[in-house]
Amino acid sequence: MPNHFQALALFALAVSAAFAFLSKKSVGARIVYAISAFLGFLAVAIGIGWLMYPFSR
Amino acid sequence: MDTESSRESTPAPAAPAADNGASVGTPGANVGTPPNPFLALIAAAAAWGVPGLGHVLLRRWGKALTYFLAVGALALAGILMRGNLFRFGGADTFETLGFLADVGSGIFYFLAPKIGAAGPDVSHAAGDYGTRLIAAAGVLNMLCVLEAFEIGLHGRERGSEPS
Repeated sequence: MPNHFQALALFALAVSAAFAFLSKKSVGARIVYAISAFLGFLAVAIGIGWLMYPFSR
Repeated sequence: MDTESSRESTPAPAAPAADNGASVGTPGANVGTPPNPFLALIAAAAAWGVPGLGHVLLRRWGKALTYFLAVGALALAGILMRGNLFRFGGADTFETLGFLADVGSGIFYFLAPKIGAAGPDVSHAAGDYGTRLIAAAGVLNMLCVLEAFEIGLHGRERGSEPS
C-alpha cells in the first residue's frame, strides 16, 4: 500500500511519461519533457501542500 | 524505440502535383495516403479494450508499452488502494462522469473486482486517492485511444510542436 507521496509520485511518473509520448516525437524531446513534467508535478504538489499548511489546524 | 522515433519523424511523402487540391484536410495529415476509417476504428477499439493494444496494431511498440504500463500502473494502484469504481446507471451526473472516466481504462475496469477482491473503501484517504487514480487511468487511456484513432486514420501522428 503506497503512502500519499508514493501515490503522488506514481501518478506524476505515469502521466508525464504518457504525455511525453503523446506530444513529442524524438527520444530526446520525450526524455526532457517527461523529466520536466515529472519534476513539475512534484514541485507544484509540494508547493501547494506548504501553502495550505498554515490552514491545516 | 529509435526505430519508432525515426519512423514518426519521417516526413510524409510529397503529394504529386496532380493530387493538389484533392487531399485538402487536417494540417499535418499524411497527404499521400487516403484516410482509413476502418483501421482507425479497429485501433481505437483495441486501444480502449487493452491499453496499448491499438498502438501494437499500428506498430508503435514504444508507445504501446509506455501506455500499457502508465495506465496499468495507475489503475492497479487505484484498485489496490481500494478506490471506488463507479457503475453504469449512476444516480447523479457525478457518478455518470465517474463511470465514463473509470471505464476508459478498458480491461482494468472489468478486472477490478477480481484484482481488488476486498472491494472499495473510501472511509480512508487512501481509498479516496485510489478513486482518483482509477479515474486518471481511464482518462489517460482515452487520450491514447484518440491518438490510436488518429494514427489509424492518417497513417501517422499529428505533427507536434518543435521542441
